[in-house]
Amino acid sequence: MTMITEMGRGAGRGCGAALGMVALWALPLAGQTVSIDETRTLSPDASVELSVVSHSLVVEGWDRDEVQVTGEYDSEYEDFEVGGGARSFHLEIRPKRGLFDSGRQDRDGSAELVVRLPRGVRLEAETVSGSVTIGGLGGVVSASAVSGTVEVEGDLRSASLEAVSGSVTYRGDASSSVRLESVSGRVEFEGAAESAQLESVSGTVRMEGGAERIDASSVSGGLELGSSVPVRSLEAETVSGAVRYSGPLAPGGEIEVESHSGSVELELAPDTDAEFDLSTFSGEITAEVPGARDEVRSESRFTPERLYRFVTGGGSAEVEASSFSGSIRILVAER
Amino acid sequence: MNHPHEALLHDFVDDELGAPERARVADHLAECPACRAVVSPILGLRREARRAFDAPDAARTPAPPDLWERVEARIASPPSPTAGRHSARPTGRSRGRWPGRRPSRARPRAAWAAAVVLLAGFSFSLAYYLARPEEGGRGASPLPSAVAVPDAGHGAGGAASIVRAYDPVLAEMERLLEEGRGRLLPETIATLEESLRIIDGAIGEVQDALASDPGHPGVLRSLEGAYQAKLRLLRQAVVLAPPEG
Repeated sequence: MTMITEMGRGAGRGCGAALGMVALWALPLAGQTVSIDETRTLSPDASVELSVVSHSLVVEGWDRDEVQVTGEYDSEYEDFEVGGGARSFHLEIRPKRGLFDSGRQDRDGSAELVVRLPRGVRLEAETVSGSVTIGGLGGVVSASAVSGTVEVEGDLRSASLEAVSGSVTYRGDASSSVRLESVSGRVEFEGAAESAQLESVSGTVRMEGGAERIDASSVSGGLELGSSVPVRSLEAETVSGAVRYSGPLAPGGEIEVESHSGSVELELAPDTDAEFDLSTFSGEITAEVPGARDEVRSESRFTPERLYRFVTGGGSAEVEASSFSGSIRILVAER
Repeated sequence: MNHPHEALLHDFVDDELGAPERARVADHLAECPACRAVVSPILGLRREARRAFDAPDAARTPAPPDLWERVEARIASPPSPTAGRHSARPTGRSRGRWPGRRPSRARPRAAWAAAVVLLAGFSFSLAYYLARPEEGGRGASPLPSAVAVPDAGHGAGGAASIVRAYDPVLAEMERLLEEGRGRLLPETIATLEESLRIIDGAIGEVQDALASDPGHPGVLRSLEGAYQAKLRLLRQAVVLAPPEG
C-alpha cells in the first residue's frame, strides 16, 4: 500500500520493493491510450495491492484462481506497473514524475480499471480522485479514496475503508471488524460485525444492522446508530452532531455517549436491565422509561445542571449519557 | 506511515501493551509528530497528577515509576534503526499493523480527567461533593458552587492543567498543519476550518461555564472532551497533509 496524501503527492513511492520482479508494460507511445487486458494465476488467499491516482477501481470477486485486469491508461502521462507471483499481486498506475507540478487537470477519476480477483484474497486498494467499488470478495479488505467514494458490498473477514471528501459505504457482514472513516463524507454501514468503528468529521455516520461493539465519533456530523444485536459496548462522541442509538443492550454491557451541543437520544429494547446515569450542564433531560426505579433527579440551584439516575430491571448494564448543552432523551419501550 | 489507533496510544501510556507492541508504538512515536501530539497531553496530565501527589501515592498508578521518563526519552530520541522499516514503505493509516484493540477513547479520557480531578487532592473532592446539585439520599447540603470551589483552590487548577497540557501540543499540531496545508484540497480545508470553529466555540462555552464554576467536574470533562476532539481533528489533518521533509 502506498501512502497517498490528499493531493496525490507521494503516490507510488516505495511500491513494488517487496514484490519481486516487476513488469513495466507502459509502451512508450506519447499521447496514446494503452489498453490493459491481462490475466494471471493467483492463489485464492493471495495478497493484492492496487494503487492508482486518477482511475476509479472496480473490483469483483470471482471463483477462478486468477486475477484479470481490464482498462486503459494514457502512456504519455502515466506509468503502469504490475508485478507479483502466485501468492501476491501488485498493480500501480502513477503519474509520470512532475506531472502534477505541470498542472495537468484531467485527474477526475473517470478512467476505470476493472479487476477480478479470487474471493478470498487480502486486498488493499487505493485511489486519489477516483472511486473504489468492491463486491464479491470474502477476505480482508482495505480501501481508500481521497475525493472519490468507497463502496464495498459482500461478506468479509474485515473491512477498513476511508475517504477524505467522498462517502464511505459498506454493506455486508464482517466476521471481525469494520472501520469506516471520512472527513467530510457520509459514512454508512449496513450489516453485521463483531465491532464497528465509524468516524466522520462533518459527514453523517449511519449504521443499520448489528455489532456487539460500536465506536462512533464526529465533530458536527450526526451519528445515527441502529443495532439488532445486543450491544456490549457502545461509545459515541460528538461535538455538535446529534447522536441517536436504537437497539438492545446486552446484560452487563455499556453505553457511553458524550456530546457537547448535539442532542442525545437512546431508544432501548423493553428488556433493558441497566443503571442509567444522565447528566447535562445546560441541556434538558427527558426519559420515558416504564418501570424505572431508584430514581434520583437533581438540579443545581446555581447552574442549569441536571442529573438523572435510575435503574431498570436488574441493572446489570450501564448507560451513561452526558452533554454540555445538548438535550438527552431516553426511551425504553414497555415490556 | 501507519498510525496506531488512539486507544492503542492510551494503552501505551498505561503500559498495558506487550513488549513487541510497545516497542512498535515507541518506534512509531519516535518518528511521528502527529501521534506524539496525542501522547504528550496525556503525559502532561500525568505530570500534573504526579505533582499533586506524594511519591508513595504516585506508586498507586499502574505504570512503572520510570515509564514516563523512558517514554519521553524515547520520544526525544532520533528514530531507531528499526523505525526505518515503518517509513520505508508507507502504507496509509491504521491498517493491519496495529492489532484491533477495543477502541475506548472516551473511557481513557474520562479516566485521565478523573485522575486530574481526584489526584488534585481531597480538598477539591470535598468541595466538589459539597457543590454538587442536590441528590436525594446523599445527605449533602449543597453549597454555592461558585463560592465553594474557588475556596478549595484546586478547581481552577483542574482547568488550567488541561489547558497547560493541550495548548502547546495543539499549537505544534497547528504549526505542522500549516506546513502541509498546501496539500489539502480547498473543500477539505473548509471542512477543517468549520470543524475547528465548532470545537473552539465549544471550548469557549465550556470556559464561560468554568468562569462561574471553575472546578465543576462535568464541565472540566467537557473541556477536555473538546480539547481531545480538536487534537483528534488536527492529528487527522496532519496525517492527511504531513509537513514536507
